[in-house]
Amino acid sequence: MNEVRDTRGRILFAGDFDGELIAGIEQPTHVVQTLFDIIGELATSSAKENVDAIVLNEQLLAKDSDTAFDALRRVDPFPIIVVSGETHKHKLADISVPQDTTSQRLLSAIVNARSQPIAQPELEEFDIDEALGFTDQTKTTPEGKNLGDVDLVRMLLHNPSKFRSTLLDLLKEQTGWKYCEFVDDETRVPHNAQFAQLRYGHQEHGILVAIGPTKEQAVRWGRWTSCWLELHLRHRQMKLLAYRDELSGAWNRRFLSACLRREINQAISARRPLTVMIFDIDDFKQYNDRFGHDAGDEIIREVVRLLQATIRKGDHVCRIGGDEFAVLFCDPEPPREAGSNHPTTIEFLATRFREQVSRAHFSKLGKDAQGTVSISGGLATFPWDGTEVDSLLRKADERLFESKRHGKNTITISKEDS
Amino acid sequence: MREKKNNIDTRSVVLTPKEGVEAACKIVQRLDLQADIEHCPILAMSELALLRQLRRNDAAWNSTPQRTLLVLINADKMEGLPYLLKALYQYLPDVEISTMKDGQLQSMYDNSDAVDTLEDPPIIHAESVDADELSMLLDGTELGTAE
Repeated sequence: MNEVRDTRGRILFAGDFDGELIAGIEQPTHVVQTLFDIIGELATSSAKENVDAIVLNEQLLAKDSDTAFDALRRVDPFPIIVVSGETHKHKLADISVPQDTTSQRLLSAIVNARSQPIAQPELEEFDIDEALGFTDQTKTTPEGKNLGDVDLVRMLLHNPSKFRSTLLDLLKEQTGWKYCEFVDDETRVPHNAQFAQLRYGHQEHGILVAIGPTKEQAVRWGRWTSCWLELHLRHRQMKLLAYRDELSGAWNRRFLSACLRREINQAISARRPLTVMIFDIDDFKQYNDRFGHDAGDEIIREVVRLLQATIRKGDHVCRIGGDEFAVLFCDPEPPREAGSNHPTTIEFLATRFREQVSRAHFSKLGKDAQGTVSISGGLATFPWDGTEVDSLLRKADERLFESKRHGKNTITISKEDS
Repeated sequence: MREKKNNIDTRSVVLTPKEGVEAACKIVQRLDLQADIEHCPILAMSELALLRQLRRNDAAWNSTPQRTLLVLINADKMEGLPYLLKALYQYLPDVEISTMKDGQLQSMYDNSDAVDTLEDPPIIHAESVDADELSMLLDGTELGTAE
C-alpha cells in the first residue's frame, strides 16, 4: 500500500468514470469532461500541484488519438497517460486499463509505468540506415528477378528496410508458391494455407504462411527463413548498439557525425536550412557530488525524455558527452507549424525545452530541488553559421560557452541574441 | 537583441482547416503576425497553453509579457471548436480570440458595450449582515443548530 501512495501529485480524469474508482484513490483527483479541459488543467497547475497521471476515457479519443497524446505531452510530458477502455490500440499511451479496473489496480499500473525505463516506441520502426545514409538502392537487384542469397546479403547491407519483402520474393521465386506472407499470430492464417513457426533459439520471428507447399516443405523453408530473419535482427541490434547511448536512450556522438553529414548534403540539394543545438546541464558535477551518481543518471534520463517530448518527429537527440547533448533539427516541414519559418520554430522549441527543464521535477534530488536544474545551449544554422559538420558544431559550441558566460540557463541563438 | 520583424507585440496561434493552411500563411505574412499555424483544435489549445507558460515566465523576469491571440480562419465548422472556446474561457481567459472578416482581424467577442471597470467602478451598498445570517449563508445552517 505504501508503494502505491508514493506518487507525487494529482490524477486527472477526463470523461465519464465510475464514482467508486475515483473515490478509492487516496491522492488528489480531479475530473473534467474533455481533453481541452485536461490541457487547461495542465497549463494552470502550479508547480506544487504536479500532475502524476492523466486517465482518459477511450470514448474521448477520436480516430487520430496520436494527435491527442501529442497535444497533452507538449504541455506537460511528465504525467503517465492512461487510457481506460476495451480496445487497447493506443500505442502512444503509457498504459491501457480495462474500463472496470479498480482504484488499486489503476494506481499500481501508474506506479509501475513510472518506474519503467524510457519508452522509445519509434525505435522499432526507425530506419537507422536511412538516417545515416547507408541505404543505397543502386546496389540492390530489382524486385523478383533471379534473386539469390547474395541479394539478401546486399539488402542487409544497403537497404535493410526492404529485407523482409525481398526474402518473401525470393521464397516465392524459389518455391513457386502462389502465396506466402509473414504474420504475427495463427488467427491470421488462411484456412487453405500451410504455416510454420519462425523461431531461432528463443527468438520468435512470427509465422510463415504459404499456399502451395506441404506441411513438411513449409517447416523446412521456415527454418531457412528463420536464420535470415535472425541475421537481420542481430545486424540491426548491433547497429543500434553502435549508435545509441545506453543510459539515456539517445543517439551517440558517432550517430551525430554520420547523420549531420547526411543531413547537410540533403539540405544542400533541397536548398533549406538545417539547425543543430548543443547544450549541457549547468553545474552537472555538483549534482553527482551532492546527490550521488544515481541522481546524475536520473537527470540525464529525464532531460532526454523531456527533449524527446519537445522536438518534432524527424529531429534527433544525441548525447555527445557526460552531460553534453546535441539536437539535430532535421524535420524539413514542421507538421504543426506550417506557417512559421524554420529557424523561428526551432528557437521556439529550444526556448520551450529550456523552460521545461527549469520547471522539471527530479525525484532523486528531493522535493525542494525542483527548479534548480538548468541548461545552457547554443544554436547554429546551416548555411549561415557553417557549411560542414565541424564548423557547424564548433559554432554551436561557441554559442554554448557564450551562454555560460552570460550567467547560464540561456540558449544563445546568434551573436546579437546574447 | 535581434530585431523582431513583426509589428504586433503578440504571439498568435492561427487555427484553420488543413486545406486552408496555405492561405493562412499568406494572411499571417500580410498581417506580420508571429504565429504558429494549427489545423487541429486540440493542438491549438496546447500551443496556447504553452504560450501562457511563456507569458508567466516573461512576467516573472519582469519583461513585458506578450499578448496571446487565437485567430480563427474558416474554423467555424471544425470539430471540437466549441470545446476549445469553452476551455479557453475557463482556463485561459486572457487569450484574445479573433476571426478574419473582410480581410481584417475582428475580435470574436465585441466588448464595446461592457462597463469599463477601470473607470467609475459601481459601488454596491450592502445591508449589514449579522453573525447568524452570515453563518447561514456560508454553511447553509444557522448558528446553534449545527452539531
